Order: sequence, then structure tokens, then C-alpha cells
Amino acid sequence: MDKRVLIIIPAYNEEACIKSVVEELRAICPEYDYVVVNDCSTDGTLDVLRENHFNYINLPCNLGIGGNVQTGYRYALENGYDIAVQMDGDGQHMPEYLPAIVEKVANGECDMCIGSRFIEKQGFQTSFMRRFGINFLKTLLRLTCGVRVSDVTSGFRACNRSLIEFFADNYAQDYPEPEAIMTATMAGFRVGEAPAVMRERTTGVSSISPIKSAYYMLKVSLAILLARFTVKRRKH
Amino acid sequence: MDTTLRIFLGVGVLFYYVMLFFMLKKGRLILKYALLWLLAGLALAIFLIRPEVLYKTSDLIGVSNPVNAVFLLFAGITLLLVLSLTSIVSQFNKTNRQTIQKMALLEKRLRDLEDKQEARDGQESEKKPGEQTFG
Repeated sequence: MDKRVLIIIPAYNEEACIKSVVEELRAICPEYDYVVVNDCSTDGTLDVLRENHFNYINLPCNLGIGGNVQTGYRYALENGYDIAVQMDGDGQHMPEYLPAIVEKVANGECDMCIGSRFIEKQGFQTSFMRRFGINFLKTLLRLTCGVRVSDVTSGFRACNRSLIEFFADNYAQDYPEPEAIMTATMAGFRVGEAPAVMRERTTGVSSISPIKSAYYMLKVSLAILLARFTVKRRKH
Repeated sequence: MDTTLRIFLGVGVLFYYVMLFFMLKKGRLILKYALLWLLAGLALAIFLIRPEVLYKTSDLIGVSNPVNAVFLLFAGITLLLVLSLTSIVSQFNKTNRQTIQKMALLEKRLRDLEDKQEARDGQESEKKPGEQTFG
């Protein structure tokens, strides 16, 4: 494959596992470039990146996951990558499934391909309440813009060049994953899925604590509805 | 409207304008953002100088006591002002984010350049001292 692929790895306080994540990626998918975006971690993440001579971008202030990933898209845009893939810095996403996700975008089947843990229902399936929330958002997305995605909160996703350009300027903030599906669909991009298996995180803390769940659901649902009624649908 | 209240509010408005003026003069307030505040003070001043405007307004919006209309109107204006502040903060949030991202990307480019330069210097110093290189 002659397309240039960049793996964007957002990292916030991942000193314990970022090294193994990057090394695993380089061992399994050496043909892909990668960049770690350190979101002003308060632990030793930056030191780990520096000591191991990883390719990294260091944000001087904490921007949250949306601004973090967007930095990765800007980097992909500036450096002329054809495909950019988001992959969490906590080791949940397995590089073995990268080629399948990238392939769907590379052969033009879709503009964005999401790695979904619910297609083959293997591996870590997350808690009941989380699945309930995911199903709710999934239904909301299907009702509002007709897009059929099973794992709407998955941060394991590949985008083609035109979507990289779009995300470099318009990327949802705070809790961006479901909202990004919405904005991409409304902007006329095609969203697809490929099966992936995810691991349960072993170190670090999830960015979504139980206390924040209610706020998360409210904010994301509102953002989806707002985008539906304020963004004009485009066809590519 | 009661004369005492008018005098009291008049002094307040005067003090308010003096404060605004000094903040503008010292550059602690940008005129663009101060416009709404200036207009709010102007509305109050008009009510004080020409109370009949206030009486008509309170009749129009169905408030029996004109003084209550003053309070109601100013609660509304305050809401608008705070909303405009939130909007300004939101814009700053966006530009701030873009600046941080741009800065991080530039820092990365600089770091890459430095690494390249270091590698090149290392190669050059490996060559025999005194040997001249051309090109």
C-alpha cells in the first residue's frame, strides 16, 4: 500500500503504559508512522516520551481529548498524510486491528472507519451502564442523521485526507467521539465500521468517571441535537 | 419616581461612568467590550433625567410600580451582559486552543530541526580534523 498513514496517540497521564503502547505498535505495524500527543500530563509521560526518543508533540496547556486529537489531525495535515488513525494511549486498542480499519478507508469504502467492539462481540465489552449509554447515543445518531454505527464512543478510528482537513478545523471538544460522527456525517462524509477487539485498561484512569456520566450523556446528546438542527447537511 | 431615589441613582450612574472612563483610559477595558456597559448606563441615565420615559415603559410592559420596572429592565440587561461575556469567553477559548495547538506543532518542528542539526554536526565531527569539505 502506498498511502502514508499516521497513527495519532493522544496521551494524558499515561506514563505507565505509553511505552508499551508505542513499542507494540512499532513491532506490529512498522509501516505506519505515529505521533504521540501529550496533553500536558502531570505525571512523567513527557519524560518517557523524551527518553525513548518517540515521535511526540507536547501541548503546553491541557486541552482535553478533543483539542488533543485535533492537534494530531493538524500534524497529519501539515505533513501530508493520506490517512490518520486515532488510537488511545492507554493500551485499550490493539494494533493488530489497525490494518483492517485503515484498509476500509484506503480502498474508498468509507471516509471514516471506526473500530467497533460490538460487531463480533469479542474481548472487553465494557460495563452494563456504559453499554446502555452507548446504545442510547447510537439510537440518537441513527434517528437524527441516519448513520448506523454500533460503537459510537470508540476512539479507534481512521480518516481519509479530506476528513483530516475537515477535522483540523472542526473537531468537537470535551467528549468528541459521538459528536464527531455527527459532524462528519452532516458534512457529507461516509462513516463505516470494522470489527475490533479491545482490552480493559490496566493502568491510568478513564477520562470518564462515574460521577461525570450524567453530564457526559447530557452534553453529548445536546451536542448531537444541536449539530443536527444547526449544521446544514452537505453531500460530497 | 421618588426624588431621593433619583438623586441616589444619579450619583451611582455618575460614579459608574467615572469608573468606566478611568478603566478605558488606563487600557483595562477595551472599548469594544465596554460598549454594552456604556449603553446600560445610558439607559439608566435617561430614566433618571426623563422619568416620563420610565412611566411609559412600565405601562407598556405592565408593571404597576415604575421603580420595579427599573429593576426588571436592569435584571434583563445584566443577563444580556453576562451572556455576551460568556460568548467572548467562548471565542477566547477557541482562539486560545488554536494558539496552543499551533505552538505545540511549531515546537515539534523546532525539535525535529535541532535533532537533524545535531545529527549533521555529529557526522561532520567524525570526519578527520583539518580535512576540508566542499559543497
